[in-house]
Amino acid sequence: MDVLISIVILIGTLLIGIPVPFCFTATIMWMVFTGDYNVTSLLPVGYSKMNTVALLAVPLFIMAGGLMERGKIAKPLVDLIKILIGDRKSGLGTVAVAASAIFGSISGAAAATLSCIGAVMLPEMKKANYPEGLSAALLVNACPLGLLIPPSCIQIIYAWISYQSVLSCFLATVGPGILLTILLCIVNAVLLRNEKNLVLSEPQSVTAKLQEMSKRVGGATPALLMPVIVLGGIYAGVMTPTEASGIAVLYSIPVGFWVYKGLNKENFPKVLVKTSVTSGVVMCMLFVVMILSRIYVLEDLPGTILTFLNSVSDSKIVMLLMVNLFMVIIGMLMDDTSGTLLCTPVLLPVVTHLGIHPVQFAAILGVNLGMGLVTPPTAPMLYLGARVAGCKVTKMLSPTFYMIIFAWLPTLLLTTYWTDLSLFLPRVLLGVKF
Amino acid sequence: MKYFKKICIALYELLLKLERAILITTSLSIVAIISGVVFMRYVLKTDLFAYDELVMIVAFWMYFIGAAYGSYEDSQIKADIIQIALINNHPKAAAYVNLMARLLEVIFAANISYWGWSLISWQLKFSGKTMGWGIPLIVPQSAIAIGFILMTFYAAVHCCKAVQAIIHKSYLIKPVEESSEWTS
Repeated sequence: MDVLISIVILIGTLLIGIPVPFCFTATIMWMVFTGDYNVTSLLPVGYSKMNTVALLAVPLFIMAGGLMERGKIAKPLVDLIKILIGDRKSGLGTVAVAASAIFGSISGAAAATLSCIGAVMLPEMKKANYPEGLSAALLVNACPLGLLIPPSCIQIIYAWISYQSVLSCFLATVGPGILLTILLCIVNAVLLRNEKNLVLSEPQSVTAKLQEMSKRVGGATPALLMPVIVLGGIYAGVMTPTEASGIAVLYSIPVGFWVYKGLNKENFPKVLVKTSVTSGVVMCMLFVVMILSRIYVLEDLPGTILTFLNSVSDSKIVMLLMVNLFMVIIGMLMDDTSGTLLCTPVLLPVVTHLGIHPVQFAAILGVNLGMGLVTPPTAPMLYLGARVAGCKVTKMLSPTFYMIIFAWLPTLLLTTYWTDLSLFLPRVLLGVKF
Repeated sequence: MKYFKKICIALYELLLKLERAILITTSLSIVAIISGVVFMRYVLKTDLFAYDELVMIVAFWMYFIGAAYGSYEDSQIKADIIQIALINNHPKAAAYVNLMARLLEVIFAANISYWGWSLISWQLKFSGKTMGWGIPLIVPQSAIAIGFILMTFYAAVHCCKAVQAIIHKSYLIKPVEESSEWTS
């Protein structure tokens, strides 16, 4: 009963707008005052859990992403992809999705992806007479791709909580990320099929495209190299994820200053402050959630959830559907990091019992929380997209629902029920047996 | 009174400057230490002794001062769905919900600050040290308490602003989409 009331407190405090770390604090307070918990033993739990170098990868990736984002890397990336497919009817939409996937992997943040790619792509889509609502909805639905295309901060956090290899979790989300990218492009093409007024660029021959690409590839290479350095360094065993993220920051400083010239001595300290604040907000939340998750584990909340699921149905398929539904709701209420922090310790024992490997669950969680970011009514990315595009949310709703039904949901279902979609790459590249 | 107000504002600004300085210094130090470890391993063929202890002390200060600065900026993660729903048609009700949220935030932040302070008191009594360098554990752990105390302070400042808004009937009018803050 106490746990149930604590969950009600958590949801209630979240809804009225108390910052997430203090919503968790309220819940801990309730459990401390009603249970047999000693505060002097709980706070060191948060400290000792956070006192690990592995977790430093999170603020360092946030810093690298912030520096690259300020470095004006979106335009060269978009230009490069546009040469390939920009002359097709749905080409610009495909460029937007692909650019979001690549930019998301560099910046690791959905909001930054939406703002930067949106700023470059939206004027071009407007010029080409793309329907306003569709353009904005497409960018909104593509911006969480950064949660799936590695390196991704939530996967580092997930790997740390679940004691899994970071690289395995990175690789597990690649399959769903690519699938989602393809499905979003297809939905965009289908929605555009009856548009007659689109202004397309002149079709070019393959040779001309290759020539143009060779001219422009230099501009995008420094940005594209960052994920290569990070993933290559980790995959080759040369660096740990934390060291790779440190090197990524070190790499992004000269690239931002001298290659893309977006960084200067005025904005550099501001970027450092901004990224430290983002990291601080995330890590403070992590500190509090670690204490709460310890309490929930001691109260056997995962066991209670499992018993509840068993009482509803014996079918593994139904139980997994319910777990997914729970995560989508969490994704709608919280941001991706808080969702990961709350869902991992509570749901991982449940899904493991249902036969899901923790590495596969990394992918399921990533897709669920990404979908939560774009699913109304909360949908923070939908509202941000409306602001970036200067478009009414109501115009974006219809295409967003199409994308959720025909891109996000199939990706989620396939990630949940088709093991190979997430486990194939870790199995082949890392030789891990699942 | 005017003189007192000026001193308070100057101290407030000084505190923010100090926080920004800590954030810049700690973030650069973390990058330097982590890159230094890689450089020493592959170029100098040596290891930096117990570097994790050094880097984690710096990291704890960055984490909690960063979170405190986030409270000052009001950029802590929120999902203020009720306020979003009310702000356009019932701004007065939204302002009262905001005040209630701010008040509760102060209470919860003050409570966790007290717990943080208990952690420091415990360390003062038992003076725990790190294994490698023998650095007192109070150094990283005091960042937690100070961070939460600063968060309580900024939450109280926001609470006062919420009261002022209600008194002056200057209800917070902001577009729906700007009402929620997310890290994503």
